[in-house]
Amino acid sequence: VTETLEEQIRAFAARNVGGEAPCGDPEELPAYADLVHDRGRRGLLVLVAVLVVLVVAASVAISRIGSEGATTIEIEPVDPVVPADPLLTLATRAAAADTRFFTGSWPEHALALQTTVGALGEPVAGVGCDPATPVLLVEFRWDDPITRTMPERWPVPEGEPDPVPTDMVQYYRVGPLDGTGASATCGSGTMGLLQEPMDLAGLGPLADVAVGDQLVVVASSLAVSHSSLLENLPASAEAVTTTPDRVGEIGLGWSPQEPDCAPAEVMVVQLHYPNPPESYMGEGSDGPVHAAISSSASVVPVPLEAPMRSGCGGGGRMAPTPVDLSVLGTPVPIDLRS
Amino acid sequence: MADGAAEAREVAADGSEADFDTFAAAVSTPLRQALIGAFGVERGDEAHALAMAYGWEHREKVMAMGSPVGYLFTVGRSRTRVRRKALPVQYLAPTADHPEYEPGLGPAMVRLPEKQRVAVFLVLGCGWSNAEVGRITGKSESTVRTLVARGLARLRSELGVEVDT
Repeated sequence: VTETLEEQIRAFAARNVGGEAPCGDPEELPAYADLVHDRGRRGLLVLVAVLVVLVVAASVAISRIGSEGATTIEIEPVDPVVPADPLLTLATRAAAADTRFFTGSWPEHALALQTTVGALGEPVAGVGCDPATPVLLVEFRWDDPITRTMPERWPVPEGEPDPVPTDMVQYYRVGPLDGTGASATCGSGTMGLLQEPMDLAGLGPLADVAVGDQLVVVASSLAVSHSSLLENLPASAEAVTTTPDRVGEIGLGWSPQEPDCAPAEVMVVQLHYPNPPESYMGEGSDGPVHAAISSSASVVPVPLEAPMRSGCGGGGRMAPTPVDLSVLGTPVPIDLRS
Repeated sequence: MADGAAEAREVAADGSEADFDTFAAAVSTPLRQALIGAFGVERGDEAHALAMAYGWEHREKVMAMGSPVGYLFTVGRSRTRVRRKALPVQYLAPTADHPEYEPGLGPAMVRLPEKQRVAVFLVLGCGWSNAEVGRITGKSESTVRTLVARGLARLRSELGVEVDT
């Protein structure tokens, strides 16, 4: 045991930062003068934003009075994206930008595929469900095993080969959604969050889910931590995916009973952590719908007048244009039950 | 660390996407240390991930800054507070078979006000200067010195350490 309190604090810090203490030469750390400057600028931006909100609120109030109290939600129409094959793919903005990860092949039977991106731009997990009898959770382990596809050091030193695999099929990991399978998650550029399978039973209806059920929920680790948000999902939502806000507060779902993913069968549910940023839209059985789940777990379906769009989120915002699915390459058959 | 910081500044001048990995390698360690000091291991790591994700999404802006660590530190603090209000600050306990510090140190650190906790963790635990901590937290060097002194005094009181042997 170290003797002085200062020494104990040093040992304490070393233990908690993973043996990195002493924490480097502080004299070599970057200068942080910008932070103060940026805070001042941020304060100004907040002030401007508040003024804009007040003006908009006043305008809305006036328009409502003028239209005898009618409430209209106007959403700009967007170009529809209807997948030509059963594979409907969502890509986050960062993943789409880093197309080198999407040069491989994708499973034909995955009706849903969601990719999340780690902090350093590396996809860490994806999820999907099979249209066949068992509902499957597909976990994409891009570095499975790590030694096969990932470098010993990150970033890769100059001169060493690019560790990104060119054929992703061999890295698929498939497991039944039986209440104990690992849920997809979004990591911090590491695979740490996937090392321990999540207990899906804690999510309530997810534990007993099967094709034919009204609700299939695939939750990110963040959603798991906010599992109360999932307890009151609408029964009409046939599939829901969630992503944390840093890669877009957008969930996209559709019916596992409908292999063609007809837009009419699609309902989109958006989880907001904690505040709704912008609208997201989709098609429900009764027409276009928008659903938002607030931090209080209430569900508010809102009719829209725009067609479904495939989309991606980044920083809590919709992508300006639909994702170009052609960059994902040609899907090839894969037996998800093997 | 020294080389990494220099690289970060070079990258900042360039600002290209391809250099983000190098930039991240330079800023990641001090950023993680600061956030773990503030929020403990689990929440600090999450804040670090969120901050780095923000850095990735806004890389052009962040990489051009002269203070990426300080800026991302505020990003991580802000985001983890919004997302994990209920998650307590927790530190790792010392190893049972070979304890290197008083087991009560972690809980005592948690009970410190955040400002004192960060200052004590970085200055005494990680060897940062008062000035460097001040740049991250937006405080003067003398204020940081005071925070460290008060935090240390409080730890001594809580742990019953009157005079170090």
